[in-house]
Amino acid sequence: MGEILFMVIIAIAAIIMFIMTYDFPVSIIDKSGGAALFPRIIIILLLFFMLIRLIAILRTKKEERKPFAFTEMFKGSRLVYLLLTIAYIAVLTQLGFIISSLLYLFILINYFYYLQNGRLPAVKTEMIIVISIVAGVLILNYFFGNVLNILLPKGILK
Amino acid sequence: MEFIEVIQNVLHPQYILLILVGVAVGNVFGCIPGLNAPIAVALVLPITFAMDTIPAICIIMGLYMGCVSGGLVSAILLKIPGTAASVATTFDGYPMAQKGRGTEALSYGAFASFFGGIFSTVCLLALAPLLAKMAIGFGPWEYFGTATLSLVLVCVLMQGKMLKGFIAVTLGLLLKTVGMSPVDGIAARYTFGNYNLESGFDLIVVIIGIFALPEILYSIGKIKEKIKPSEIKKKKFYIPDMPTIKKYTSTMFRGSVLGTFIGILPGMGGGAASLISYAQAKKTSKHPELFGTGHEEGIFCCESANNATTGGALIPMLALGVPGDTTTAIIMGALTLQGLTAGPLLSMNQPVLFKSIIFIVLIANILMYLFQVSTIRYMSKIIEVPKSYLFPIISVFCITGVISLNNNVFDLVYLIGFVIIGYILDKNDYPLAPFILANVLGRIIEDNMRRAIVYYGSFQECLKQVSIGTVFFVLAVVLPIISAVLSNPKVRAKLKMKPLRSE
Repeated sequence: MGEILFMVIIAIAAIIMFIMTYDFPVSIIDKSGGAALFPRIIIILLLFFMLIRLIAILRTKKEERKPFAFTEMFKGSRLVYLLLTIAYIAVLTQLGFIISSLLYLFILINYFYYLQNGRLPAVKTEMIIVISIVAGVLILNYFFGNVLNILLPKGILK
Repeated sequence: MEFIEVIQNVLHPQYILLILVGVAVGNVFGCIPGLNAPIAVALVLPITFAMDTIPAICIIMGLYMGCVSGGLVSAILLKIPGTAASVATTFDGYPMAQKGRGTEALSYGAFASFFGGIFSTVCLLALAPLLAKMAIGFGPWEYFGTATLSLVLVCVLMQGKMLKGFIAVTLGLLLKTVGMSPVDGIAARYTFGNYNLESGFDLIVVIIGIFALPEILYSIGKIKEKIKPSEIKKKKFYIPDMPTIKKYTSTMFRGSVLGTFIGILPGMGGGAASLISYAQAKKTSKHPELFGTGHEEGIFCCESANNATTGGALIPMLALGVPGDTTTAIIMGALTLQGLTAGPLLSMNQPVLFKSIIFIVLIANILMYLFQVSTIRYMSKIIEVPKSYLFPIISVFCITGVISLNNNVFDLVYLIGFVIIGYILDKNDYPLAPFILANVLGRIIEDNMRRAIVYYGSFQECLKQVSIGTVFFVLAVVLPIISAVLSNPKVRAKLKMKPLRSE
């Protein structure tokens, strides 16, 4: 059922994209088929392959169908990781690379440590983690900024 | 004269060091289950963006070679292949380690990897310029045919997953149409008025989103699993003795030939090469009954084959601009970032650079072997690095890599979208290689198809041309049909063929 739903969502998006191709501007001197040609071919092929797949799924007995992996992404530790990563991305420019990365690494390492060992790190281990994180983030920031000349967001440290 | 220039170009201490760094990091990525060559190369792309061409190629090729051979460590010591290319190595490598011969197994694997790598580099040196010369007369129609056929081949060669491969390809091609249209350059397609989308989805963001982060997301579910590798002897250098090398030279040679050939075929990576080589070696061996019980030949055949795919996969990439596997697709993206277009014109316009790339691959193979024979015992420790430290660090690298591209948060927003797409595709058996290849080749296909239509007047006129482009296009249409007919269980039964895994 999950895969059918997934394909229905893609099919709806593809059909909308197909309709949108009629709004693409066309140059009168362009003899190459226009900007809409390629997306239309691809959308038709995509719908054709998904239709075959749909028939194949429906012809498979229910008990033989594999469960569709999707909702597991939004459960338990995976959801925590996704939310933390989204939060990291959201505050990256506001707080800056150094502060947001320090917070992200500290929270995530402690969370994963807890998941793996059933407890938080001991004080000594925590100290090592903190020192390593600070050193690592500062080195990365220096490497990107001074060696590669790529500026990372400075945020509130501007 | 050209050769001296190539030597001067590459044999620079700084560049050798970069190759070595690439090999070392690649080995680490290769030996940690869950991390692989596409992830390693994708992570380093933003860094190479700011580098000159030769140093960028040095680090990328080092990573590629290091990753493919690094997979043997966890395959032998844990029975968990570090990369898909090392699946077959577990069959005899792990039983050998269980018998207390892990050290020998690792040294045989490292030597076979070296043999396969060098063999395929020689093939690369001999075949790539030849193929490039043949392709110099290619026009848009021929390029369209070549790129289309390679996308189709990727799907057709995925036994039991062809249909899902085609869905992944078309999905990748559709997402590639986002942004300004090529040729006319007047239509902003599916941008919804957002100027950030006018240049389309950045290839590096797509690669990181599809490969690196979904793997972490998936592996979090298994974070509690603890691993304990088999013990190995502490030695300074792990080199197999001469009689053993002599005994298995023909095995390695056959594995290397197979690996190089399979590497050339689009989408057939090291995993398929090592499995086919293993089956072939077992069939031709004097002692097939020993296979699977910790037999040395089982390691020599598959490790030489999987490393030989590296040079093989680079042949079509360098000569035709058509990547042979996912990693070479990403490497092609890296060359594009450097302002280079892989293909026949590269060897014609920049012969020194073309040969320098091949020379870098050769040095990377040599350094990979030296690195492996001297660090195998440390590599076995790397496998034990807790995932609780590893995953957050890789996540930060991924996000830093993406933000460093354009300093644009929008890239990070659609990165999350690709993470979700990558997870859904991968965990539901939709192959990722066709999706990535579609993203690399999408623009080439559309651009050349439209140019060919302009040149010949219409698509029907293009089809009437007597050219290799027409042959390739017809093959691209016919091959999936033949493959679909042959995958029908009734037809297979009639032809007395082995049944396929169902889709």
